Amino acid sequence: MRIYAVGGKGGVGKTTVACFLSLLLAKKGKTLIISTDLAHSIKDFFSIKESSQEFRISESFIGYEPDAREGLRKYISGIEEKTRRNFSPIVFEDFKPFLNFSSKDPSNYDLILYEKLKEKVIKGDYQFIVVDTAATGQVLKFLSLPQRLLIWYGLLLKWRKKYVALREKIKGKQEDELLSMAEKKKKEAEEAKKKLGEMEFIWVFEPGTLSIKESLRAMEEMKGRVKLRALVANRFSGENRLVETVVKRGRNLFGEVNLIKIPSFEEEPFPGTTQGEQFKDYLKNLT
Amino acid sequence: MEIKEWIKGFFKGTFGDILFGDLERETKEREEILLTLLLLHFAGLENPLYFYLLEVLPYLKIDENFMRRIIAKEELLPVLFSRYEGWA
Ligand SMILES: Nc1ncnc2c1ncn2[C@@H]1O[C@H](COP(=O)(O)OP(=O)(O)O)[C@@H](O)[C@H]1O
Ligand SMILES: [Mg+2]
Repeated sequence: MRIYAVGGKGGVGKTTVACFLSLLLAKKGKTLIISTDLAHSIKDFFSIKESSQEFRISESFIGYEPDAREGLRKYISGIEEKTRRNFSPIVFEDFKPFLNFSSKDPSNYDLILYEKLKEKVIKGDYQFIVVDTAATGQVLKFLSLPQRLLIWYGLLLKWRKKYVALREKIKGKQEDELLSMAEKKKKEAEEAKKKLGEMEFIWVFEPGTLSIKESLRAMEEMKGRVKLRALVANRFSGENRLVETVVKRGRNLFGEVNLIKIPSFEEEPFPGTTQGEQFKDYLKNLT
Repeated sequence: MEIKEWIKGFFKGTFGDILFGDLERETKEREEILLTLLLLHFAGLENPLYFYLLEVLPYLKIDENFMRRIIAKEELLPVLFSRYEGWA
């Protein structure tokens, strides 16, 4: 399995690059494109009217736009249901406001999106996964979460094992569901760490000052944490000193880095158009 | 909540899960530390793991005395902080 993540500032062409790259990959093997931006645009790009979060684009090509808000609501209401059974009703009532708060807390969206991505990554039935991302920070979070979770579930297991040993002295041997849950999740984190660790990053930027500044910052942040597969200079024309700065810094930080230059088209590069075909051709040596 | 339900709920926690002596205390404490960590987040102590602590919630058996203990005596907090080092 190969995992690509496409990042860059808003509007630079991330979705366009991610979608055309996926189209090329889908010719070689089963491909998933997943959007981790809250404002999805994969369906719009392919003119897909279907309302489901997961949709087929072609024979070997699946799209996935997970709804983070709905995912969070479901996650919390699942916890609420199970908690209701184990807590005394009085304490449960005390906890409900906390759960309500959590189910609307936007800082949880990235965690839900990570969970959705992790599911796909560890299930492993795709040859290629392309992630159309929202921000550099988000990708770095996705990459560091498995390690943090390994530590957390390791600690949880240690605590719980002591608890189970104590309980056994009083009440005899009993199955412990929390122990099994933590063991399962720890294994998942291990697998996610391994697979996401091999993620290849594609950075899209425009030859404008703001995009360039963000690119330089992002590359510093990514150094040592992710492989930079390629820099894509989109809407590029002629010589450009700013683009040179980015490439130079990229090669400084990551060693050999591919540079792909894509010109600005008169019309938007969508699938099935001449501009689209041309756009796609520029990405060929990424596959 | 109806009064009948309230009474039933109150006694469920008190008598539903009887343990004894020091072992009882330590066992309960271990269970409650996790919940306390979660509450600390809501009390304003930034806890990046709170989302994953929520996941633990359904597996804990908590009676009304838990709230009374942490609110009235705060006896869990020193215990909590003494074990806080070494994680994360
Ligand atoms: N090289 C290009 N020439 C002309 N239009 C482009 C080019 N690249 C992208 N676009 C257009 O720019 C807009 C933003 O692109 P998009 O891929 O949605 O960016 P992002 O996902 O980074 O927000 C889209 O309407 C897209 O069709
Ligand atoms: Mg986009």
